[in-house]
Amino acid sequence: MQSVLQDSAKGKLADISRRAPVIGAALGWLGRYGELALLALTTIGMLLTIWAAFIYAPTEAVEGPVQRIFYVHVPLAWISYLAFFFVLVGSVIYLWRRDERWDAFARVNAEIGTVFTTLVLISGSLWGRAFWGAWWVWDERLTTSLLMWFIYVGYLALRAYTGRTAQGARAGAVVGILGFIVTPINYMSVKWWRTLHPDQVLPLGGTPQLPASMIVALMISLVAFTLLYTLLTIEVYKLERATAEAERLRVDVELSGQE
Amino acid sequence: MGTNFLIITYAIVWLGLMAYLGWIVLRMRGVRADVESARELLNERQNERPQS
Repeated sequence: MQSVLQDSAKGKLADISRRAPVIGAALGWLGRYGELALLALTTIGMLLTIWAAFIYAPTEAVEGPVQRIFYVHVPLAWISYLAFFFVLVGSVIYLWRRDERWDAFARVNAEIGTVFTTLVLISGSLWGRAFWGAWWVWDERLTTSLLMWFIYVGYLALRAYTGRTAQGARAGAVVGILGFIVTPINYMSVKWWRTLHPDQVLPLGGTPQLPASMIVALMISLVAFTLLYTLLTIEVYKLERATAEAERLRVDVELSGQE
Repeated sequence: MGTNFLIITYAIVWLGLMAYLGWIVLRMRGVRADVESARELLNERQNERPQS
């Protein structure tokens, strides 16, 4: 509390009550009914994902039914990459412009990315147990995924420890930038090393290695999870704003008590 | 065997996402209550000041 008070006195306490350039624009455009519409679209998308994964997509000849884990595992991984990329973007812009709203944007994405990476690790481990017969192997893709998870858990622990201070935001931005190095390594690991993990199904600039019906099912799932990510980003950012406002009000109460 | 793992995976993913959404809602409620109580306290102190 003392450090928050000191920072507040110096005008350094995170002020994200103004709307963020990206999320703020989305919030303004969407409004209350827009958010409800996004929630409805996400729910429909998730129901379509279940239909596509369990009914529409054909059963894979070699792996059998367990291959259908792919329709949640890949979108979860895609959202993790997207979220960690936005941690990088938010961190770079924060260091450049010293605008706390971008720091909050980075922190929101680190939290969402960590939750999704946790689910990637769990779903991948269950698929590995069913297909490889092992919960875990120290394969390059799996190891870099775990490393990525530790980096962002460390980021969140650092932010929780340092609080909403300028010093914490700067340290977080540095970790957010350096930590992103592992993400492209993780994506490319199946190309760079001989891994047990299956190859990229949608290689950048390449031809998809799947039948059309599986691609369609995957696309439905990717769209649904991206809608869910958008909804989560808006809600967690609103939570960040409310938390910052609560802290600022508590500082005002403390200061008014000292007068 | 494969079907069991498939069902367990989908259940864990969906329950995990629901739990995360629930946690966000609970945190939001707590923070809103904090904001309200801090505002009330601040208003009380501001109202007391002119009388003293």
